[in-house]
Parts: sequence; structure tokens; C-alpha cells
Amino acid sequence: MYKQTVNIFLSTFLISVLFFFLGCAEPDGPVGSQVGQNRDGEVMTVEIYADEDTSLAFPPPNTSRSIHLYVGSIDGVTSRALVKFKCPALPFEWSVDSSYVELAYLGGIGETINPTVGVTQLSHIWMELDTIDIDALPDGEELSVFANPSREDSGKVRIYPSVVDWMRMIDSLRSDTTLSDTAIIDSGLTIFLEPGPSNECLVDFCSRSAYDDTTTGGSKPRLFVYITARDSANGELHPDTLEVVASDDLFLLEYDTTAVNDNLTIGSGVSYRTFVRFDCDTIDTTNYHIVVNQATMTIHRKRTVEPWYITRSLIPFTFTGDTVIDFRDTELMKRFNVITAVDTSLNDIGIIVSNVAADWLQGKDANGWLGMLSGTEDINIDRISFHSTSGPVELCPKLTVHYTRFPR
Amino acid sequence: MIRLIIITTLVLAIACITPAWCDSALSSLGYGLPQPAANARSAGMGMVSLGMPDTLGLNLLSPASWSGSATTRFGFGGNFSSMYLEDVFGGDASDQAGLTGIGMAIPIGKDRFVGFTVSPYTRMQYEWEVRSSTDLGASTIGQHGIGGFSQIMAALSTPVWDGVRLGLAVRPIIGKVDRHWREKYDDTAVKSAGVSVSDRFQGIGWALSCQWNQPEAWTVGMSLFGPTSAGIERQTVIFSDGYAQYDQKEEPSERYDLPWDFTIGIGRWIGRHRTGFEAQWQGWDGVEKPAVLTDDFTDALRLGVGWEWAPEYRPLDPLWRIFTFRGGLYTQDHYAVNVTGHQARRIALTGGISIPYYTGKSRIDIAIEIGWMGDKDLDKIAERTIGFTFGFNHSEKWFVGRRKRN
Repeated sequence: MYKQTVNIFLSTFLISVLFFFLGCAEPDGPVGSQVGQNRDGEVMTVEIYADEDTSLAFPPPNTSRSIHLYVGSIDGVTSRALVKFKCPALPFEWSVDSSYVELAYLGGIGETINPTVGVTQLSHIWMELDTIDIDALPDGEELSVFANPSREDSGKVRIYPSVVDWMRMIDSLRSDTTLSDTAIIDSGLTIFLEPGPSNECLVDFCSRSAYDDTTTGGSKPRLFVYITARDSANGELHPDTLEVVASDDLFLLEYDTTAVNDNLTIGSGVSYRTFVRFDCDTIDTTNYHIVVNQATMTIHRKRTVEPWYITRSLIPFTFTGDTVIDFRDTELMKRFNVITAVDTSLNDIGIIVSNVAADWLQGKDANGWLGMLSGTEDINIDRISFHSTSGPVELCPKLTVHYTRFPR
Repeated sequence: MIRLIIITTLVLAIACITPAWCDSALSSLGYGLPQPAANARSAGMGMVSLGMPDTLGLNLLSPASWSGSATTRFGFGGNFSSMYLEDVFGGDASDQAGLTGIGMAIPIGKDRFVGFTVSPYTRMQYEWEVRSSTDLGASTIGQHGIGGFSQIMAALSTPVWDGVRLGLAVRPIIGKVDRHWREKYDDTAVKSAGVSVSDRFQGIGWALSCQWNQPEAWTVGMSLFGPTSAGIERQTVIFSDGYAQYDQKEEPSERYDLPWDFTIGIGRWIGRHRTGFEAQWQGWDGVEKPAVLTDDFTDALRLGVGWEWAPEYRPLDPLWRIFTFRGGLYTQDHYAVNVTGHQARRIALTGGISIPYYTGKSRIDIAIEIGWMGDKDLDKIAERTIGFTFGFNHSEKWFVGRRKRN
């Protein structure tokens, strides 16, 4: 009886203990936290101004997919444009009364309110994707000086009588059976647009890739030829207008190496990349383990150049300053997608670079150079310039690193 | 009996593998909270054991106390408790459970035993989360720690002259302490940061105990633990957003030191009642604190008084006279002080009961403790605990020759 009593009691007691274990209460919240106020991680913030920077540009390839034709000089970069028209279908007999080229003006920035563009007609046969050597372009006939942005209508260039010569040449080529069709097709009238005498002035026209909608401001380059044609049936003369949309165009870039370093530029297809170096030695990684919570690079916009394409990728790499960077190198093409924030009121662009900063601080990337690429570099011509280390300290690129450190 | 053993084994197995949730914020200090109980019997008597001889149970901390009939003794125990914590943020509750020790002693001669015991020396488990605000916005900081030291006694207990016993032990120390800290931000664009430091210790020391027992009169016991230095194997993991950024194992040159530990107890029979007093001193002031800890160490003192009553049972007596009843009171200092510089103290009332079985050759001890530790202002936390400790003390004629059995 005693034994049974004891066994029952003990069994009940132990089973109760078992359920107690399974239903253990777990505390949550801050109760007790003041006992162990020794914080293992210490959050620090450091601001690092850029040490060095540069923008590098390369001989530009033909970039024929832009909706813009830029002509002018800004921030040490000079742009020129070529526009080509193929010969229109011609009647049996014809004579040219007048002709002009129409370019739709999109706007411009610069130090003068009356930017000018020089127009030269070239007798030049060129194919799309040719590499154009600007200095090798033959002299053409200088035509009327274009361009006053205060005009309400599109800019017009009168190029008669050279259009006549060109059309006659095409006509004669058609009757020459020894010429190939390709040669005939590619024999285009080329207009070469050059910057006027004003420095630091950039004019923007619509290219042949632009939307052909005058209500929205887009209008492709057009050649208008007013002719008098003879009707082949009855021999009567009547006026006619030939309208030719540009078949091809390019705009070309040159850069002044000295001037480029005063600006940090990205964009212009693959032509421009900017490199900035930050010295992260102020962060003690000898005595502490470092975790980067967030690193933000702030850059200050210099020019309001349309369109507003913002950098989408960053490349950390080793750069001695003298090394020519091959951008096709797969190692350098490792990119980090970044989050950007534009503070339009202050013209600041913030780029969150936490991954890159973490690599720097952990010693994975050598000497703190950061490369910025335009998010549109495979597509289009656009340019954004930023203040560099040559400018005021408050405007030079700055890296703000928030990190947590743990004693080693 | 078999059922009892099965249930007990199951309960203890679960106790060992079930994570013991946060038991004490004060266990975050130092190497954890000191665990003073020699066994479940002393847990019911204000942690008094040296002045209270036990011919059946094993004193996990004093091999000199192993005496009695030439039978193999085997004992183990566990405890569970419920705690209420209160500080400036409010209150919270937690439960704790764990193994309090296991031991075995084998007779090797006339009243001489060899054996081993394993018991906790310190225990740590804490967890909390606080909200914070930084330049990067709101964040949650969480801290969690678990582990502690365990001590093993491989001991010889022998009588040296009339009424005096001596215990000599090798005292290996093993331990494991894991501490985690993490800060997570509400803004998902901000990466979290955290560190986990896991230390594994091992060291070896010695222990000396002695007991003078005048039957039905006085008993005086003493135990001395020498300082022990434990080597560390440390793994540090730094992580960000759940990914390990740094993961390194090393053996740092610093060591975890345990101090001199001296305990003295005195007991007296008064009729069928026994009373005792015990004092323990730990010299933590002399310990070189590891650099990873930011708390300060200071000497710690434990004082306890206990009482035990074993009413004589005769046939036809009420059943309760079979049991043995206990009570006590003790106070114990924490050896680590927090940022306030105050040394937290535990005060507890204890009670207990023993239930003999197996014709008196074995015994089950159950103890209850109601304790208070810490002060909301001085220690930044006040903890109230109610807990139960149980122990099984079993004896068998294992390892005894057939001639001796007969």
C-alpha cells in the first residue's frame, strides 16, 4: 500500500514536471537588459571626402541610336553631329527651285542665350557604325549659319544650290550601269553641324530616332526640296515638294583631357566613366571587426543636362591613375546594382554603396577606387556632370559610412 | 519501480535536451549564476551539507561525506523553477529547468569509496530585446547568452582515524558559454550586424575535503577547492544580414580562472532533529578577469542555516512519520557586479521532504525554494523565484563480491 502510494505520487509528480518542461515560459522584451548594458557592437559614423577622382573618355564609337543630336561644348567635352539624307525619288525631268534642311531644336544650356551652330555640307559617303575621324572629314561648303534658340520655329538651313549638284550626281549614278546599287543607295547628302564660336554652350536637336510628333516637341531632321517637275504624260510643268527624312545621323564627341578632370562625367554611351577614390584608413580595422550597416556616396550635380539618367552600377577596382582601363575586362565588369536617391532641391544624388564599402573595409578590394557607370550606357547618348575634388570641399564626392565595430 | 525509473529517465532526458529558457538576467554577469546545491537534500536545508552527514546520498561537492554501508551509491537530480523578473521596463516571467548533478560511488574497502560526480558550477541563460534609435533609424538590439561551467569530481573518500574522513579529488572543469548580440534595423536598406562568441573551456584542478563526525552529536566538515585555470577554444562569428562575414576559431592566450573556494559547515544532533550552519567563501577578487567580460569580480560569500527532522517510525504509526522533513534559509552573493558596482545577493527560504523506498536503502529527496535576488535600483533587476529540486539516491550491491553480499 505504501509502495503503491509512493509510486503513484512520484509518477504524478514527474509527469507534472514533464508537462512543465514542455510548456516553459519564454520571456521577451527589454526586461533585464539594463543588467548587461555592455554593448558588444558599437555603431560609428564617418564621413570621408574623396581623395582623387577622374573621368575617362575614349574615342567614341558611332552612336546612332540617340534621340538627341548634341552640338557644342560643355564641361570640356565637344560634340558635333552628322546628318545624312538619301536621295528622294525623282521625276522624269526636274529642276530645283530651293531647298532647306529642318532640324527641331530641343533646347540648350550654356553661358550665352544665343548659341550658334555652323553647318557644312559634305560630299561624304559613310555607312552606319563607321568610325569617324573628325579631322579626316573633307572640307565642305559652308552654308548659312544656323540657330537662334529664341526662334519659335525649327532651325532651318538653306543649302541650295548644292542640293542640285547632289541630286544631279545621284541621277547620273542611276544611269551608270557600272555602279552597284549599294553605292547608289549610300550616296547621301551629309550635313556636318559644328559648334559656333561660343564656348560652354550645348545645343540639342532631335535626331532621326526621335519621335516624329511636332505636338510633343519631337521632329526628325528633314530635307525639303522645292522642285519644278515636268509631267511625263503631257509635258506640263508643275511645282512639287520633295520631303526626305534623315536616313542616318551621328553625333561625335571630343574631350579636353585637362578639362575633363575638373568634372566627373558619366553617360554618353560607353564613352564616359567616372572614378573616385576614398581613403578608408580612418576606420580602424586592425583592432576591430567591422560590419557596414550602410554606406552612402553623395555627389553634387553640376549641369542640368537632359535626360536625367542616373548611375545604376558601381565597380570597385584597383586603379593606379596611369593604368588604361579596358572596360570590357570581365573582372571590371562586375557591377553592384545600387539604390539611388535624387534630392532635386539640393541637386544631390545619394548612392547606397554598402556592399562596395564593406569590401573595401575588409580588404577585398585594393585601394578604394570606385567607378560609376551610366545606367543607359548601352543605349543612348546622355551626359551628367558632377563636381569633382577640384571644386569646393562641400561639393566634392563624399562617402558616409555607418558601421558597427566589434573588438578583436 | 520500473515505471518510476522509466518516467524519471524520460523527464531528465527531456530536461537535458530541452533548452532552458531565460532563467535570470543576473546570469549574464561573469560566467553565470553560481549553483550552490550539493544535492537535493541540502537544497531543502538552506544549502547546508558539510555539517550534515549522509550515509545514503552522495554529496556532489564533498567526497569526505561519502560514508555508510558498503553498497554502490548512485544518485542524480534536477530542478525546475519559475521566475518573475521586474525592472524599469516592467515585468516578465520565465521558467528554468536543468540537471543538478549525477554521481556514483563504489565501495573499495572498509568504509572507503571511489567515485565521480558531475554538477553545475555556474549557469547562464538570458535573453532580451530593446528598441533603439540611431542615425539609421529605429532598430532592435537583441542579446542572448547560454551556458556555464560544470565540475567533475573524481574522488577517493576514506576514513583516516576515528570519526574523521578525508576526501581527495581531481576536479576537471568543463564549460561552454555562447553569447550573441545583434542589431537589426527597421529600414530594410540598412544591413543588420551581429556577433556570436562561443567559448569552450577545459581545465583541471583539485579538491580537498574532510569531515569529523561525532555520532548523535557534532559534525564539522570542510572543503577546499584549489584555483583552476581553464583554457579556451573560441569561435567568433561576425555576421551581417544573416550572412557570416567573419568566422574564426582560435585559442586565445587568456584563460578563464576559477578562484579559491573554501566552505566550512557545522552540525548538531538535538534529539531526532539535526541543525547545521555553513559558510562558503569564493575569492573572486584574485581572479584575472577575461578581456571579453566587462563585469568586475569580487569575493562572494554564502551563509546558510538548515534543519532536518526524521521522526521515528514504528508499525501502526501514521504514514507521514516515514518521511524526513527539512527547512532552511540561506543568502548568497553574486561574484560579478554590473554597471552599478553593486553586488547582487540572493536570499531564499527552503523546505524539503525525503521519501524512502527500497526498504530504506534508497531515497527520493524533494526540495522547494522561494528566493529573491537583486534590487531594481541597485542591480537593475529584481528576481523572485519559486523552484523545486529533486534527487534520487539509490544504493545497490553492485561491484560487491558474492562472499560479501552473503
